[in-house]
Amino acid sequence: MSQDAAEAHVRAAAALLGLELDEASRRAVTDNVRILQAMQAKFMGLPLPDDLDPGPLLRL
Amino acid sequence: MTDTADQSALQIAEAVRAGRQTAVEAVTAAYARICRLDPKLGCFTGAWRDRALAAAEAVDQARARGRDPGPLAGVPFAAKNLFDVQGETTLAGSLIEASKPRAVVNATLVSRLEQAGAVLLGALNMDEYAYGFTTENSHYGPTRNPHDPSRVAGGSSGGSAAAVAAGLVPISLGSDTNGSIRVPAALCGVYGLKPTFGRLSRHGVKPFVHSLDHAGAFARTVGDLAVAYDVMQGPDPQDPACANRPAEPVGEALDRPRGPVRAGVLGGWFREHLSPESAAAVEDVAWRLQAMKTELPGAEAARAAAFCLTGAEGGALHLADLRRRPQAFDPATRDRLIAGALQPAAVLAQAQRLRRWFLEEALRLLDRFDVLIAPATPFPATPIGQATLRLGEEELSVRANLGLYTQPISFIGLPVLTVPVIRHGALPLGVQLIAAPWKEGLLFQLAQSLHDEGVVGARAPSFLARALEKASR
Repeated sequence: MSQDAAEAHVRAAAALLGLELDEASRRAVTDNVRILQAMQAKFMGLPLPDDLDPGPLLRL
Repeated sequence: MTDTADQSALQIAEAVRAGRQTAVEAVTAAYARICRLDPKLGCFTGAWRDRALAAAEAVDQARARGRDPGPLAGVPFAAKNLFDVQGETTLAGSLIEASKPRAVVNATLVSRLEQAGAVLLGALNMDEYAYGFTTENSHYGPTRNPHDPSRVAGGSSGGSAAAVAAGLVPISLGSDTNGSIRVPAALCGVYGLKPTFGRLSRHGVKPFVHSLDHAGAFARTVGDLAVAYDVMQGPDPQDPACANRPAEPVGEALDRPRGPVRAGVLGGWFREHLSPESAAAVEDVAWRLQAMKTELPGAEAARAAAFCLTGAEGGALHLADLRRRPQAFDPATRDRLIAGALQPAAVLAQAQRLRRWFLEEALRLLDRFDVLIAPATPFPATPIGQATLRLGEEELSVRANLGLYTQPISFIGLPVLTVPVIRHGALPLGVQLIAAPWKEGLLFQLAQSLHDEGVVGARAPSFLARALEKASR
């Protein structure tokens, strides 16, 4: 995602959640969103079977 | 007066139970040490002398009346300021929580330690809302590493690790979502236990990421950690994630010789970005346990998924305050929380499904190995305020990378005991011993045997000797 697209995402998603961001915070949030996007890229494309059910992590 | 800094929790309890020392003496000595040293270290956000003395007197009276004062009789302890303490405000490292009502009841683990005779001395510094690995708290100041006060203690339970390393208390409570017990334990050179997800109650522990939060403890000896862990175990219906399993005590097995163990040392992701010092620490433990090299597939993806899940759940948890009073947060914490909250739902769903897949991969590996060995941190403690570190050709963010090797493991809830590797004349480093779910007992046995063989152990920080000498002049 480009910088412009990330900024647009931050503006739209923040508005949906009722978050008001000043300019400095918007820039910092966008930087963090881009870090998260880089992280997401490491697992979003992994093929997982449809029947992989997250369920409770460990059977208690 | 005996300086409790030289005594283990077990030694204090034994002396109190036998009548050679009173709980009031033990607590008074610990409080005096806190007053002397904590201004230089910043471990405590509150030390409660009157409350502690009243509790210590109750322990002494119980003994005087012939009642069993408990296995931790008179042992001073402290809790990360994320744990509720009746009548006190749970700060969670934030300014926002400072204006909220005082806790009405103790966190379950605080109560269980007190029921065992331990005496709560105060609350310990942490990263704001546990979202960090360095305890450079912008509201309450940094916690300094007792082995070099110009360096970080690690985080987010930095106050808990540093207080134990400095001998201010022999036992402390902390929490671990992505490494917040294991990282500071490693950097401060003490033992840190992150048990299996669901093993210890989190009731009364301010949440950060419900699906990843663990409660645990720090100590300077395996025996102290074991006795604290044993008295804290057991179901707690007040924590919906707490397992309905009976306690499985580990203390009694510590002295038994360990049998052969199938050990694996993790490569792949767990070797990337690793400093030569951290690699050497891992090798010391691996060599002693005759570990075979192995790999845990998907660790990098798991770390990334834990990273995203943390931001999403943490951001959602604090959404109301992020709307109402964003200026009350440390800006760095706030902007990370907001970014986390803005993630699409599809990311979270994939992260949770990956978590199941990765757990199954890890369990397959744990069919072949009893214990897995991994570094706790990629490098030793860095100077306070240092943002990046050069490793080879790469400039790495300190804050972002301290949890590289801890995050994949807490993501799937496996029990981990971080052990301090003995490194003469060097900053502390820790190694993670990782087992299958509910196998904490094996980790304690291995840690004790590694200690007995001279591979691991907590050592007194040289800074303390200098500080105490200066104070006595």
